[in-house]
Amino acid sequence: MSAVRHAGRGPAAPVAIRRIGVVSPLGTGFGAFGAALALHARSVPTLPDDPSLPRRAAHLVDVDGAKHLGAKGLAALNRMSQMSMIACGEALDGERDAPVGVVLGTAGGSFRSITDFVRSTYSGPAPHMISPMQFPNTVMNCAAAQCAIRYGLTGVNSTVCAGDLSTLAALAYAVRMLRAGHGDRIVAGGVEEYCDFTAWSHAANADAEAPMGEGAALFALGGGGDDALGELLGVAQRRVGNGEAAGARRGALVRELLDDAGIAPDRVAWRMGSETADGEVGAREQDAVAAAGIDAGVADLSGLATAAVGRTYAASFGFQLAAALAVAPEGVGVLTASGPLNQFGGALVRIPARTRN
Amino acid sequence: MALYDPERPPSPRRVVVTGLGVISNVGIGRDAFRDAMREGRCVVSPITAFDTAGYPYAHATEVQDLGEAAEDYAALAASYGRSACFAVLAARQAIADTGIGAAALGGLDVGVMLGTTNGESQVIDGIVRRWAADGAEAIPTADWNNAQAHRIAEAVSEELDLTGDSVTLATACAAGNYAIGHAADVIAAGEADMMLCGGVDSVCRKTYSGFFRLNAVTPDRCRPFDADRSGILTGEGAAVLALESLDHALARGARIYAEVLSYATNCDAHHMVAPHRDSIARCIRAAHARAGISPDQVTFISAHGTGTRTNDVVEVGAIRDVFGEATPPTISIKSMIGHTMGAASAMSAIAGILGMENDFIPPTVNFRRADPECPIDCVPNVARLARTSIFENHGFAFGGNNAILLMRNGREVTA
Repeated sequence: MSAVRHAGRGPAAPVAIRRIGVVSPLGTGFGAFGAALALHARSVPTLPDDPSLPRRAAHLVDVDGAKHLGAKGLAALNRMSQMSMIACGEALDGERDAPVGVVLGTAGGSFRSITDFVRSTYSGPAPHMISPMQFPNTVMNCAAAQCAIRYGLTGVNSTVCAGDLSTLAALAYAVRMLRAGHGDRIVAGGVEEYCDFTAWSHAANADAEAPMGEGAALFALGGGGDDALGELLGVAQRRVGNGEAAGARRGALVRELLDDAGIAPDRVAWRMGSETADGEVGAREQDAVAAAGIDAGVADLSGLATAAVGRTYAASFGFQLAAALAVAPEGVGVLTASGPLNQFGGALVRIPARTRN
Repeated sequence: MALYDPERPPSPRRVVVTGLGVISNVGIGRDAFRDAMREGRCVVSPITAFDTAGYPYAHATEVQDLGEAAEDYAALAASYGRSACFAVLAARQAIADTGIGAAALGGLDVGVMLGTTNGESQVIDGIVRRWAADGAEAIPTADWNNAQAHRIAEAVSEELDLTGDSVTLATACAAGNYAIGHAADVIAAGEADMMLCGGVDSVCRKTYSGFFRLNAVTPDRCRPFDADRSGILTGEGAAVLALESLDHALARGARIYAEVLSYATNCDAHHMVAPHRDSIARCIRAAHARAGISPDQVTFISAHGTGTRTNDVVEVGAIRDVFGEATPPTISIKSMIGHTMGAASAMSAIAGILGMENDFIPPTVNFRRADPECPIDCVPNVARLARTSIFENHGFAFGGNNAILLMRNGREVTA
């Protein structure tokens, strides 16, 4: 592990999380999501009745684009863009036409739009006799760009793909951009869309038993103000490889997050793994947190988001972070997340003292 | 607390380029690519990547001759899609070019950040065809997994056994510049010892059909800035740069190709497809400001230069808004290698770096007749011998994603 990180400098500046936008199977809005989590309520997964889909239950979002975005121009917007735009709008809270950035994590854009478009090249009278209006929907940066167009956001605009860690990678990207002075406010997060392609794609892998989910979770980062919902003290991911070395690298990553933020392990008040520790992934994440010197007795919120909204893949860390901001106790907590291809990541978050109603 | 204080930048670390890798239609590897850029080589061929029945015409700038890399490509293709194969091949070249041996590499924290427009579009096309013919359950799990965009960066991390950050940036046709710029931020922040960054794409049916439908694919050659231009040629390939801090490079006696002076990025927030003159001009000015240079210090520009009227007129307009009458030579290597999409601005970065190193400015080939709407010196048809100090690299994309990169000639980089 490198010793170059932040060499000779003090703790990295915390990044304020000012507002959250959520579109989830629990409803539209962070309020609906947070209220459901506080009550331990879960969305109910349903088995698709379409015989062309795999027999796997899914938590689906009722995307009401007309209600939240207006009917004008809606037909040109794909479902992934609509979910992203609704969540972005909530995170912006009325802010428009400003040099605010958008950084969106996704597995690769809307596979629904991409595959529908490719299919149309085979089904029409000629391969180029296709809908020009649908072409932009097939580009992977479409949803982030549509957020910018809708709200007039002329800052950084980026689309980040890192599989199941896409949202975590998007947040890491956004934090780096803020710290490097590419802007002072960025709405960052991730989106996952359930469709025939993603359903079959995920069903082909080992975790097919757990219900899928979908939705978008975006966070308004940066800027000042005392009303922040939380602070992102650090966020990082890396490819840790296999075996014993991987375990050491996972622990080292959590330790680096603490060191960079200048937080002693005994100051950590809670943790939230992507899965509960009774499974292999959850156990590995628990080990990483312990290896960083964090007490095993801290409050454990692991697996909360997955239980509530299903496996949301590229968006999963967004729901994990949103869940933490909704229900975690006051103080510093560590979030961990894993991808199937030896990827591991984490974030350090501070929850302010708050009055609960 | 302010996150960023311009008076006290977060890191004094300067970032340099110490390794280059290229897979292109005009040459495999740094030297072949350099020679192609100097000679103005243009290779256009009938499309072989997909069934072209039904298109009025179907030609592109495909990578059809992998030369000595053909065997390695075939070995990788058993596990990965075409874009990932290109990325791994170019990354291996870049690492070899840094002069770091395998043992030393294993002790470094190396991350991967690659830009793409289409990701593994050929894999997705294959899935769609198999699905229609045999049903979704017949599709191998490896195909589903390879269709995920991050597999491209992941493949490089896996094949080179790297343990840093591993991310694919999907900012469409500006993605190469996005990746190089952000990788430089990673190095500057001290989050890695070295970054492999750049862009990659494969010719595919989706993009060819889409641009064809927009009347943007030329039946001719690609002729940027020419009065008779008629559009793009879709292309493919990979360009990977190895970045490290100047201190790190000096300490190990590395060859320094160039210094990443700055980059800037913004969004038009205007239209999914049409470029925006004022927004591009703002992005150029922001890059100059971040580098602390004035426009007259830029010695040439490697333009986005797609060879569509819309792009060329808007881009030249934005350049002239910033540079005025003293606009430096402005070239488009898309005239030679076509529009390699997510790889385009990374290819362009390497072309510019090799031009600076070898005292030439790559030409805009296929040029016949000046367009009064594009009043620039595009270095028509023949490379120009010139000592250059700073070059500016443009990348624009669908969605109004702009990224401008500034590089300094490695010979002028002093500690």
